[in-house]
Amino acid sequence: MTENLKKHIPKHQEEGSRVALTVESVLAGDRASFEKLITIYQEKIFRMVYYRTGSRMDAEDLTQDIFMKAFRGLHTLKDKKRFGPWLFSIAVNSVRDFQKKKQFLVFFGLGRDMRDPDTSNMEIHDEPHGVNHLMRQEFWGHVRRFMEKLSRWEREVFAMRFLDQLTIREIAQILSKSESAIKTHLYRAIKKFKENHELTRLLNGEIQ
Amino acid sequence: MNQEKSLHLTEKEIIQAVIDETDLTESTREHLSMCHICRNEKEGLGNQLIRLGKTAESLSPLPRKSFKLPWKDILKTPRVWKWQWRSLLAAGMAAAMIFAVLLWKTPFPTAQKDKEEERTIEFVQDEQLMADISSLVENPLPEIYYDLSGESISDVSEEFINFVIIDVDNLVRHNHKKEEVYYG
Repeated sequence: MTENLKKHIPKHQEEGSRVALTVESVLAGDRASFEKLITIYQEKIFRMVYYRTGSRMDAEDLTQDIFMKAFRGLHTLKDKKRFGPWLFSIAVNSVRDFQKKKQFLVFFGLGRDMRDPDTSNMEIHDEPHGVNHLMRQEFWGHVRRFMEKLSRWEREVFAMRFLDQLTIREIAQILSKSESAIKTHLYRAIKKFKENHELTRLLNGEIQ
Repeated sequence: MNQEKSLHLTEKEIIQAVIDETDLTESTREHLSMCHICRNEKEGLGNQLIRLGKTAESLSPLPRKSFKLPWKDILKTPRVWKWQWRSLLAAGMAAAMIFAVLLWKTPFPTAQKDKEEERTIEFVQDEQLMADISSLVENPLPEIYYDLSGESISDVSEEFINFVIIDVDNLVRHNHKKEEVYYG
């Protein structure tokens, strides 16, 4: 399983060195190098934001904002190899701020309700009446119900590990927590996942 | 068989193996590598989690266009200057607030002082009024009328005054007596 997971997780060390060189070029004044960084990370960041906001439009706006913040704060990054986790921590904080603002607006009746900001209200864009649409709706419905059963940290760590496919070390760096704390949250979340037969049956292809 | 079964990984160990196999004890790891039942269970759970990530990825939209930073805007307003401007504004506002607080605080002693002075003046005025009232009670007429009232003539006896100012009651009684003598 660990090997299987490794196949899906980027080779961090190689990527880290390559990214560090690109970051150095950006700091030396090469704007095109930042475009390269955007190309490397845009899908990951966009997806990460989408999983948490459930809206393509919000995810696009936030992703743009995250890259802007990253460019402006790049000179503060000490370890250039850690650009990835650093970018993710900007993304996590941006999503958190966005959700707070949204909850504030909902409180005053100015925005739409987001009971579970991680996966609720997933907007379906393609084929509104097609099979894909139904599959999406069913899948995200199950995921949302499962996520609702997790605590805030369990949800965050579980999403980072299995949806964003980050390593435990990266998650620890992003959330500024120890690796053992991350493992504890992950253990509890996986235990709940195992007990969620609805979702596991869906993933095993038992639900049509 | 029973012994082999008792050696199988617990649910906790299976989950621990999925999270990080190196956290297991050496004997447990050894068992995991040998026992196909435990390995299947561990891989089954691990594969479900991988499938979750892959399905989420496949059922998510992609951004409609590639992200590009608005370089013109970024270069037009240098962040450093903006930051300095903002911090200057914040410092100015903080100074103004401190100044306002200081100004707000100082009126209090002055106001208190004013009130004390006011009270003293009122007290003096009250005292004066009371003194006026007492003197009016004792001497209700102004000094100019004292000669007329005769209060100021101290060397004239009361008998002389009764002679000068005839008492009306005595006069009536005197007239009655006269009438009684005349008519018998």
